[in-house]
Amino acid sequence: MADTIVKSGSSRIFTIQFRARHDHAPMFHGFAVAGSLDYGQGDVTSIEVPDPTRYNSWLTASEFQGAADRVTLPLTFRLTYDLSEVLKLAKLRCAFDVQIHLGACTDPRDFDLGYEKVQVFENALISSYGTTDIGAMSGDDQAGIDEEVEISARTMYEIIPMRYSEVAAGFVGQEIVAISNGDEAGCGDCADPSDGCSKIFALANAPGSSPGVLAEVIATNDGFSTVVESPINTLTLADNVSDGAVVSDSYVVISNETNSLHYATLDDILDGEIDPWTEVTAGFVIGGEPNAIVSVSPLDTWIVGDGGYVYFSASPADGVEVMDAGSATAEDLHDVDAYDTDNIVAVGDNNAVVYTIDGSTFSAVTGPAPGVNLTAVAMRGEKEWWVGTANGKVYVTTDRGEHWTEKGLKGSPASIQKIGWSNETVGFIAAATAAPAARLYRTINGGYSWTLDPRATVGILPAADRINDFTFCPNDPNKIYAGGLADDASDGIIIKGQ
Amino acid sequence: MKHMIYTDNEGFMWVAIVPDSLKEGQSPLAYPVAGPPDLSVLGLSQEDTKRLHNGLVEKGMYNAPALLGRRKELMQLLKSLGLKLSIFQIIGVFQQAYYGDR
Repeated sequence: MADTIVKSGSSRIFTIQFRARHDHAPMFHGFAVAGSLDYGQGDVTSIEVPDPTRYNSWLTASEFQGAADRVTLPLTFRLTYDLSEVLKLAKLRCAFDVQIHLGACTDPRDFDLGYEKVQVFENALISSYGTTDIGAMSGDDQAGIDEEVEISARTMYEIIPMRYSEVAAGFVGQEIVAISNGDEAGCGDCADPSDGCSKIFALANAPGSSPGVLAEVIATNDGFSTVVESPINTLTLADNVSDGAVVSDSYVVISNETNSLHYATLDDILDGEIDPWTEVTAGFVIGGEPNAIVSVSPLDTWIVGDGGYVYFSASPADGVEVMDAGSATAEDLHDVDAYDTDNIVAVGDNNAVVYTIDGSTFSAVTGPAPGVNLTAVAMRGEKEWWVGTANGKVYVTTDRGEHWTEKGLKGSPASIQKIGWSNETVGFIAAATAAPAARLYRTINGGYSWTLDPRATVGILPAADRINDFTFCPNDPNKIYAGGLADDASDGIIIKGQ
Repeated sequence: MKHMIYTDNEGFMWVAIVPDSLKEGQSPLAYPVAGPPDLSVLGLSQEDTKRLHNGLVEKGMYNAPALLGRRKELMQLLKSLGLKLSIFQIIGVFQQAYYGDR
């Protein structure tokens, strides 16, 4: 469908009252059309200087662009005898989401599969509501009555069906345990111009071969057109690694086996520097060996580990400090996510869930699955947490764990490896069947419905036993890099979705 | 410093690190060997060990850093030599020699 021109008759409208969320059903509006959208990208202003060669003349020395405007979009609905949903939305004065689904050969009512492209308008409000003529003075004036509204949305972007392919196949011989995006979108003022999705770092575990081999980082500067390997020389041969994350200008690896972190600068890794790694043991406690890491700013990194230990690091080079020495829970913690510098959640064995709302004091809350090990957590909001379990279930809470709701996934996965949100609408879940075979699920409505990705008409997911981690690209929910264990139970695999 | 390849009496090729001033034809034997490491731990026959050893030198794969980003080439080399070895066995020997048995 890539080169097919979209016709205006190929669009249908969904609204999601109170915005996309796991319990907010999209509403289909069959008798509605969208007008032309207006998305001002900000006025461009020149900065002039006097022309040194001519009087009364100026040269443009630079320019700057103002902030993007809100998106405006007129919508027209045929008035029916039912209570008006759009009038209700207008009078509620609460933000909602609008999705325009564009398609051709599918049922447009099928929210998840009935589109070839979606235009998403997030955080919309109705700025005006009106109708066409309600009465007809004569037969010639007879016409359908339309409700006409204009919405003003905070942002707008597109979603298309994803296609997946394996990348860096000749380089990945070991299971990928973590993958991170170390890129920033920019026009070239501060670094090379980038779409923000070119510098990817995949952490490959040590293979179980004899003699042992170092775990390494497989990195790329160009979306895996070219690849560099960086063996983590501060590890012992055959030491396993647990997780990795980009922290400021470094890539930080944690290892439960070495009870330490290892870091190298992103530039050194990408430049192929020999032995760029430094090990830091400061602050790690025996019994609290690290398992998972999350970083939200150069100064704010959290690491969770065995025995319920939670560490904080303001600078990986300086080590970590204990934030919680297993007092909230003594269970081993296996995953952690942060919404911001105050709100962090970690999950672990035996239904353990701990969280903080001030970035430092951790409390336990009863998890969703008594007796079950929790393997993945993702924060979609301060209070909205998504949790995956070792037995293939996914739960969500919107009140910091006071209540949990199970979200069903097709195909009955046997385990959940990773949950993540690309933005407030688009999220992914990595799961595996009992076979094992990797499964990837995607939602485009804040988690209300999840579908297997890619859809069957588009392609297949490269065969893998499991996907352990994935990473997103800023401002592009249609791109993902995932890493895991290939379908031969020994090789690693990196998958690019776009 | 530059690299120079020489062959010993038993037919094994070695990469030596020699001064830039060393001329063609001068013996590099007095200078340190950059690699490859001892491959006898792989348990191959003497003949296969030599073929692998020299094959690696010919490809410029003489130490652990020189193997980086060249797994496909290494795999092809093993295949062309008809050796049933995993590339990780080779990488492991190279890394053990380069980083030490830590």
